[in-house]
Amino acid sequence: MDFSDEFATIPTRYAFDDDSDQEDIDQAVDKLDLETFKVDFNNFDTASINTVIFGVYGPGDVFLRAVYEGQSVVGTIYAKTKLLASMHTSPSAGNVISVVSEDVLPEDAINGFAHAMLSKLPNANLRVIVLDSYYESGYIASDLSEQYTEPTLKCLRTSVEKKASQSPTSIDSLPAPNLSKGIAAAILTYCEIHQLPGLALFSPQPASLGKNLITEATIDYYEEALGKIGVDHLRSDQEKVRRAIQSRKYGKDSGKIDADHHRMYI
Amino acid sequence: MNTFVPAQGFDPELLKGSTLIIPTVSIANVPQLTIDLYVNSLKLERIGFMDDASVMPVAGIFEFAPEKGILVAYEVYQSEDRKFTFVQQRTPILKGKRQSLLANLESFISIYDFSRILIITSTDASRRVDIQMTGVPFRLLASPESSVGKRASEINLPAYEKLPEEEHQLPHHPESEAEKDIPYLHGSGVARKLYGRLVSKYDVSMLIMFALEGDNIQDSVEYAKCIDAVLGVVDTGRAADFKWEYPASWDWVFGAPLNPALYD
Repeated sequence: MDFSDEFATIPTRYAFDDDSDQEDIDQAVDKLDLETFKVDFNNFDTASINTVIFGVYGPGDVFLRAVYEGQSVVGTIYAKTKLLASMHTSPSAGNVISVVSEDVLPEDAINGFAHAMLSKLPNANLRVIVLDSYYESGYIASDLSEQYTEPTLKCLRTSVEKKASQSPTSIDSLPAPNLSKGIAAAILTYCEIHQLPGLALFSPQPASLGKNLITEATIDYYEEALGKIGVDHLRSDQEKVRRAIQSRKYGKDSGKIDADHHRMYI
Repeated sequence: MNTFVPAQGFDPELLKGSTLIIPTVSIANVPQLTIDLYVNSLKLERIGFMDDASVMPVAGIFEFAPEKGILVAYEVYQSEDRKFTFVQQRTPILKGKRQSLLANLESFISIYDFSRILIITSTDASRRVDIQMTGVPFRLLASPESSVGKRASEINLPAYEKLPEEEHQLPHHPESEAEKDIPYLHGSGVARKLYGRLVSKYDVSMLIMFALEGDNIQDSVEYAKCIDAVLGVVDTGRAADFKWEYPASWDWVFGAPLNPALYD
């Protein structure tokens, strides 16, 4: 258990009482509505973009940072003055844009962020790929050995993506009752509702001492899976991945543990 | 704002005249379990989504029909005969967004001209008083003249008792006139607010179940049976061999099976 976590929710028996939320008593105003997010493509031709790859903060953003290390940014997404994501592209695949998360998005910003980002991309057949992860410690499978059987990377595909000819059938779906949450779920929801081909790849994150880790193996799964779905140009190497992991600040979502992790007595 | 987005190929005109069943996220999540029980047992068609930023997003495999992509947090289903429309909300409302969700839901209701509305909710069973301890754990809030109210009388479904609330149990914020006549239902989420918004404008009823947190699968079956007794959702033609089918995901609702290696 990470003791830096605040208590996530009030006790369940009171969580459904309708007088516990002061903000609802006044007229609720969307604090983070679409206008709050500034999506800037720096004169990039958005009509030419046919694929967007979103790296969720965690293994997803580490992989993309390793791929685009040293390359310039072609776009940004800000919420007021806070940088939420940066965008990159490759000369060999100019119609593919990669969005790298800069931080964990607040829960109430997730839906607005997904809308703001995807509504700016006019291609009606835009393909959306999300790089996310699942925690091995929280994974539920009827057969315990299943999660340790290669391949362990899982995916979720929207109905339009499933019908597409290049959609992979060799990547296992994330089985029920496991669910995707956060920004990955918001993006997939947007795609399903707006009939876009959407695909999320979930790489397993092992845990140690109660902390979910980002390892080189976690990252390797992405490259292999992207190759299966026709995205061949994203290549990283182990050195770049190590640098991307090491550059992350220690903390709850860092994906790494330091020497003092869980030390109770000095 | 109407947030309903019809599924590809669905004509929203088919919503007109149907009975709308709306669950609220409430204690033990029994209403939501009940809706999924209906979806799986009757193979309800997903006819659309509520594209509402007020709920937490979630996505998973569409276990009712895996070839159909993913399920999301806020969906709309309909029975084959088009008589019953079910909203399913799988996640809580985001902080500060309740009014927004209620307004969007009311807008959806006003546009599509449903014949009647049934809100299904649950309330904390530990807050029951003596007279509520025996008998069925269901109560109804409805006008006696409504179709649901009349049916409830026929099957002896009790009305929710009007009890004097203790001072510390009363909500400490201003209420609308409509809400003041509605009993306070602990743990029922936005049910009371939603009912208060709709009661003066539509044929709306609220079915309440007393529930406690725990293994609520059987509660959902009982709730589905109660709804059926009131509305007759299950086609009587197949009632003889009909049985409730649990979604496969309910097998592991309390987590993965134990790893026997722990005990080696």
